[in-house]
Amino acid sequence: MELTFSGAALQILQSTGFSAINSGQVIMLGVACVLLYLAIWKKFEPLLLLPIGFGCLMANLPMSMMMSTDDGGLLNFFYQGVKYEILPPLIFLGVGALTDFGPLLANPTTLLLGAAAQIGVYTTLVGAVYLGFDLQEASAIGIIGGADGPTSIFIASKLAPHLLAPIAVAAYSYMSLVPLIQPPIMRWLTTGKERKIKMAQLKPISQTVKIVFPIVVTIICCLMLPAVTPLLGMLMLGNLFRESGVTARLHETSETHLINIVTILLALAVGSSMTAESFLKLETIKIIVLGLLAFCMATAGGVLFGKLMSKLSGGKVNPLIGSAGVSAVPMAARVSQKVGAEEDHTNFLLMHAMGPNVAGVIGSAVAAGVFLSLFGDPTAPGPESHAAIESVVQSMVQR
Amino acid sequence: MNDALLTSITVSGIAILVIFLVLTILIFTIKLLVHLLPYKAPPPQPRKAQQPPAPQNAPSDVDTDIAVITSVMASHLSRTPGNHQVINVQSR
Repeated sequence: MELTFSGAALQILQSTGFSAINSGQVIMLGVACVLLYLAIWKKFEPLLLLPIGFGCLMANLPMSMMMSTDDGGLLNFFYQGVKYEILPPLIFLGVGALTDFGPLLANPTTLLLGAAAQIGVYTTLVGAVYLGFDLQEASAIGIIGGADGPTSIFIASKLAPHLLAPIAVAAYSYMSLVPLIQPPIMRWLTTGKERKIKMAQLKPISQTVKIVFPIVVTIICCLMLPAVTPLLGMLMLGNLFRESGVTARLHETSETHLINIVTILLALAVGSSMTAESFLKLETIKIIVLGLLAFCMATAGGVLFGKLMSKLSGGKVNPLIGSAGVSAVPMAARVSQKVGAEEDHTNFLLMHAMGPNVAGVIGSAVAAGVFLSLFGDPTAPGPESHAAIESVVQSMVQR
Repeated sequence: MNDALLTSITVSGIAILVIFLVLTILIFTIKLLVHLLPYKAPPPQPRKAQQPPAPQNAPSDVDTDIAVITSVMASHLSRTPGNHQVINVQSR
C-alpha cells in the first residue's frame, strides 16, 4: 500500500470525529456540558445528572459507538438494563433498604397524602393529551409528577421508549429543583396559622410490624396491580433486608454498593439515549413544560389534601406535610420542615413529613401500576426479549 | 372536546380512584397490624450496683501486690528494690 504524505494526512483527518460531527451533535455536546455544569457547580442531583451528562457527551461524539442504539457499543450493553427493566427495580431495592417506614406506620393516614400528590400525574396526563401526545406517551410524561426517577424511567421504557431521554432528564432536573419549586406553592396555598400547627409526637412502632409491613404490602398491592411487582416488590424486599435484622450484609450491600453501581449504569444508559435525533425535538420542550406542571400540581394536590385533613382532624395536621407526598425522598420532607420552621422555628415537621414522603414512593409506584394495567402489554417484554438477551450473551461468548 | 381528551380525563378519574382504594386498604391493614402487634417498651436494663469511686491516690490491690513482690524479689536476690522493677502482675 502506497501512501503519500498528503494522502496519509487526509486519511487520518477523515478518521477523526471532527470530519463526521454535525450541528445536532454540537448542540447536544452543549446540552451535556450544561448538565455537567448544573451537576458539578450548582449541585443539582449530581449523583445522577453528572453521569447522565457525561453519557450524553460520549454518545454525541461521532464514531465513538457510545449511543444507546449502537449495537455492540459499551453503553448499548448498559442500555439493555433499561430496555429490559432490570436497573430501575434494582434502584428500588436500594431505596427500600434506605427507607424507614416507621413514620408512615405510626401515622398511616398520611398514605392519603401520598395518593393526593399523584393528582399532578393525572393533570399532566390530560395536559399531555391536549398537547397532542397519545395516551401511552402522556402516561409516561405524567409520571414525572410522581417525582420518582426510576419509576419515570421504568414507565417510559415500557410505554414510550422514544421519549425516555427527555422524560428522564426532566424528572431528575425537577427533582433537584424541589427546594425551589415547592416553597412558593406551599406558602401560597396555606395561611400563617396553618403553617404554625404543631403535630403530636409519633407513636413508637413494634419491630414485628415493621417486618410484616413489606410482606403485606407486596401481597396486597401486587395482587391488585400485578404490573407493579418489579418496582414495589423490590422496594419491599430491600426494606425487608433492613428490618428483618438477619440479612445485615445484604442490607448493607443494597443501600450502598449496589445502588451506587446501578445508579452509574442507569444514568450512563439514559445519557447514551440523549442523541440529537431523540432530544432536539419540539416534544422535548413540551415535556420540559409538562414536567414543571406535573411537579407544581403534585405539590398543590398534596398541600390541598393536607388542608382538608387539617380541617377534618380539627387542626391536628399541618398541611405543609402534604407537599412531601411527591416522592423525592428525603428532599421534599426537608422542604416541609424548612417552610414550617420559617413560620415557627420550634416546629419540627421533618419526621411527620417523612410519612407522606415514603407514602409518595408507594403512591407513584401504584400510579405506575395503574398505567401499566391500562396501557401496558402484560406479556411484554416476554420470552422473545429474553431470547434477545440470550443471543447477545451468546455472541459475546463466541467472540 | 375531542375523544382523546375525554378518554384521558376518564382514565385520570379511574386511576385516582384506584390509587385511593389501594392506599386506603393499606391504611386499614397497617392499623390492624399495629393493633394486633402493639409496641412494647423494652424492659429496663438492671442497673449495676454502683461502687464508691476509689480515691485517686490510694494504692490499688495490684499496686500492693507489685510492691510486695518487688520487696521479696529484692530480698531473694540481695539487691535493693530500686534495682529491678516488676511492671505487671497477672492472676491465673
